[in-house]
Amino acid sequence: MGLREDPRRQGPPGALSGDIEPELWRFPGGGLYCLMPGVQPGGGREVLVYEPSAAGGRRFVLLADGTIEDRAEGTLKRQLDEQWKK
Amino acid sequence: MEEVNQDEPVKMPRRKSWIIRLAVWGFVVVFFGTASGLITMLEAPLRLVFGWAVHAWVSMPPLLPRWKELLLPLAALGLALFLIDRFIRWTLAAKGSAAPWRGWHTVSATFLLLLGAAAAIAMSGIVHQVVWLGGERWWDGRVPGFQQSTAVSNARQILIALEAYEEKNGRYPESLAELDLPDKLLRLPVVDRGLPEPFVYLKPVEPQPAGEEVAVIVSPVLPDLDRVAVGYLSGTATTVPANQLPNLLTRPLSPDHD
Repeated sequence: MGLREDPRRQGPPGALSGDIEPELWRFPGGGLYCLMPGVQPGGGREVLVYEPSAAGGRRFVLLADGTIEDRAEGTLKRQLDEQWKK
Repeated sequence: MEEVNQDEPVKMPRRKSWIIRLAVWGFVVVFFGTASGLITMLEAPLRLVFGWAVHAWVSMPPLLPRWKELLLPLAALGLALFLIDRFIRWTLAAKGSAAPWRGWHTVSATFLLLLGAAAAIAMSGIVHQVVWLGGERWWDGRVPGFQQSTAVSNARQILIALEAYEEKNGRYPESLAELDLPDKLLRLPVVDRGLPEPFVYLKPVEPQPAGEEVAVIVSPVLPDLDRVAVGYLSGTATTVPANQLPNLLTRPLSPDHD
C-alpha cells in the first residue's frame, strides 16, 4: 500500500476535530490555523496548514512532509488554488 | 493722503487668493476621494508632499538622545565643506576667474549633492515598493458590511445542509466535506481577493444540552470588523465579537471526537 493510500496517515477532516488538542488550533494573533482538507501528512510539498489573515502579508505554512516554510500571501494563494484544482 | 476710490472693487492679494483656492480644491478632492473610495490614490502625492516632515517627526525623537553618535559624521561634513570650499577657490584662482565665491555657495552646492544622493536612495526604495505592490489592487470597492453578510449567509446555507444531512442519515457528519457543498461556500476570503479561510465545524454533542444555543459553524475572523459569524443548531446565524471565539471553541466536543 502506498503512503498516500495509507488510511492511518489521513489528516484530520477539519480544524477542531481528530486527536489534536483544540487549543493547538488557535493562532496566537487571533483566529484559527487553516487546514487544507484531503492532504495526507507524511510526504509531499502540498500545503497542509496555513496561518490565518491575522498573520499578515507573509504566512507560515506546514507542508505535508512536515516542513514549515513562509510564503508571501500571493504565492500561497496561487499554490492553494493549484491544490484545489487537483 | 491717498484718496480711496469707493467705486472700485477691493482686490484680494494674489497670494491670499491662491491659498483659498488651494484649500477649497483640496477639500473637494479629499471629500470626493473619500466618498468614492479612491482616497488611497491620493496617498502617493500626499506622502510625497508631507512625507518628509512626517518622517522627520517620527525619526528625530529616537535620534536626539544618541547625539554623540552624530558628532563624527557632523565633523566629517564640516571638514568636507572646508576642503570643498578651499578646492573651489583654488580652482577659480588657478583659472584666473574673477567670479566671486561665497561660503554659502559651497554649503548650497554640497547640500544639493547630498540631497541628490538621498533622492537616489529614496528612489530605489520607491521602485522596490512599486514592484512589490504591483500586483495589488489600488482600491477596495466592496460595500461596507459585504463581508459580514457573506459570512452569515454562508453559515446559514451550511446549517441548512447540516440539517438535511441529519434528517437523511440520522446523524451529523464528521466533517463539512461530507456535505458536498461548493468550496466557495465553505471557505471565505476574509479580505478582498485574499486567501480563503475555512469555516470551522463543531460537531454537535448528542444529546444536545437543553435550553442552550449550540454553536456548530464558526466563520474565520473578519478582520475589518473583528467579529466571527456563528451558526447555531437552532438554524440561526449571527456575528459575535472575535474575542468570544475561545468560549465557542472550548465547549465539550462530541464523544465521537475522543
